[in-house]
Amino acid sequence: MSQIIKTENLNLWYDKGKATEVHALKNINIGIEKGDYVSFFGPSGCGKTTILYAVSGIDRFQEGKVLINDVDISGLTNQELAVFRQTGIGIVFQQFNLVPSLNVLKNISLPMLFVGISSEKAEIEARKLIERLDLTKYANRYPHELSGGQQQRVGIARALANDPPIIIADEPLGNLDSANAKMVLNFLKELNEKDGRTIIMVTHEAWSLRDVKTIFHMKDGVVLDVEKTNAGSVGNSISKHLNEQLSSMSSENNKNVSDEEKISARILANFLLRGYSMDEIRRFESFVNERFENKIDKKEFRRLINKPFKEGGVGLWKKKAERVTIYLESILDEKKNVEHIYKTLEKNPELSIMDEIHAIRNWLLDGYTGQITPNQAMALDQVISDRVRDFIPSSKVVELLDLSKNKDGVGLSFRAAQVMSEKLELILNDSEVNYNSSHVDNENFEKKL
Amino acid sequence: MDLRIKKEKIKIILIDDDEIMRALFRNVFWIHGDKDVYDVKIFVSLEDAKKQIDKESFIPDIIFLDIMIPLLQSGDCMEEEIKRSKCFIEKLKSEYKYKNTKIIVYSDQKEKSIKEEVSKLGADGYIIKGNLMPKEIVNFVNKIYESNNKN
Repeated sequence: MSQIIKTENLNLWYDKGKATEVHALKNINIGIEKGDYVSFFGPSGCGKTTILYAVSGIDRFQEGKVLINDVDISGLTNQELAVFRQTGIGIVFQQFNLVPSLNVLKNISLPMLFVGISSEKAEIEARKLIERLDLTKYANRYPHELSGGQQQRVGIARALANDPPIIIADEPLGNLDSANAKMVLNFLKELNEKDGRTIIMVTHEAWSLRDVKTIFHMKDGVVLDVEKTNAGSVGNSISKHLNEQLSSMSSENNKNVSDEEKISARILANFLLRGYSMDEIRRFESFVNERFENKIDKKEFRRLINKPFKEGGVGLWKKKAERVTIYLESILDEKKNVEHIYKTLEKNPELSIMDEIHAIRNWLLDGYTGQITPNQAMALDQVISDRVRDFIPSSKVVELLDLSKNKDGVGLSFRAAQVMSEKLELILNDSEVNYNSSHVDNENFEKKL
Repeated sequence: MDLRIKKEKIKIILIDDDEIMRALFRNVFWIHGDKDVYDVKIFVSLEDAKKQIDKESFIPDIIFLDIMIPLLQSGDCMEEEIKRSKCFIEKLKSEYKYKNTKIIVYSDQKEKSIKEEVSKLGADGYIIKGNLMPKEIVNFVNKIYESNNKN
């Protein structure tokens, strides 16, 4: 099979020659086969996003070559490069990046108009994509009237606008709840298997690698190795690459912990803290390792993961901290191995932070008789997210809920803001309160809006 | 037909003063096809294209011609531009060595009359500008080439 993307001694610096210079990609020599589904995987700052934007012709590199179908893209004029970016690749972004002033139909048509397609033809093609992504009833809506999941579907349709052979997905699941994240993964798989497109995904979440066929492990701007995964062996494969990653980590603090336990800690951190930042995940992982080593007891572990992030903890709210602690203790009691942990979590992962926030939001709004617009719901989600992570105190919650919509608040009445804030504190501090997080029905909630 | 196994490249000429169309034609054949299968030459004016076409060695398989292209330094009216393109088609079609060259005229003119006129002069196809998606351009060329070679 021929290579659709190839790099030769690719080097990219940011701020080259300045005091702030960063050598982001170092002598990258890789090949991606036509029709492959690959992922660049590695810790934050490893260069995985930079390599995406270098092969897309978005970030200009200083040395080496990027060949697409054997054509060196550094030889293209700006106009040719612009056409390549519109027709050769489609990019799905974490933040969706839709044009707020254009409706769904126009957002999807836009890339076609850029390459000279007539507006009549663009509309016909955009409607086909709208149907494929199940967006028919939202065709005339504007991005702010859509949920995150719907916006990401529009983002995928727009990426497909000019029917590109390569799809690039930059942390495409980062802002989605579980149901929508699964939908996006299924769709990427379909684009690969059914359409035969080459898919490149950048992710820091191990679980989203489930359909990937080739993994490029990256660290400090270097591709450490290339791994071909077999269907059904992602569990082994992830264990393997986590092992490799861990072997290169400083073992100063973990010298008494076995590799098996280190891998378990990393898998647990990735699955239990879905949607959290890498810093939060890494800190959680270090506490799990300490618990495995018996340096801390169950009670101390729970206290540390509940403590606010800025005070050296992870910032999980009380109820979540308890749930996670019970789960970890069950692993310790039953001496579960890596394979077992991975398989259980893969089948039934902990709800992502987005799911939890939606469940809490639904619970808070239960009994609320006023009308909430999608924009208000999004503002409410942000307040909940900041509070459950302990970024803001409870007094700030009332203020933000009450603050006018125009000032990025939620725009509730003062009384409603007070009631909701009290309910929220109940969830965070009282383990008896159940907001029914296992029955998130976000689509139905959206319909109610 | 597997186009990659043929020895000679498919020779394509585009004549258009529209910068986007020229950039699209320069890119679309290696993005959706194979750079070793297509030989694409792009011209901004009829004069430039004539110079190339007059060279014996380059006999195009397909010419895409925008019906309205101004002279490089002139402010002709629409009728003059169309007239010049028609002359170009007529001249090419009258020469034996271009007997297998297909001429596809395109324009944003939707009037049937133009389509009929260029067809009478011997043009092999007429398409409305902006009505082919990038990948459809490649498929369109392949189809013309294959049917041309069958005959």
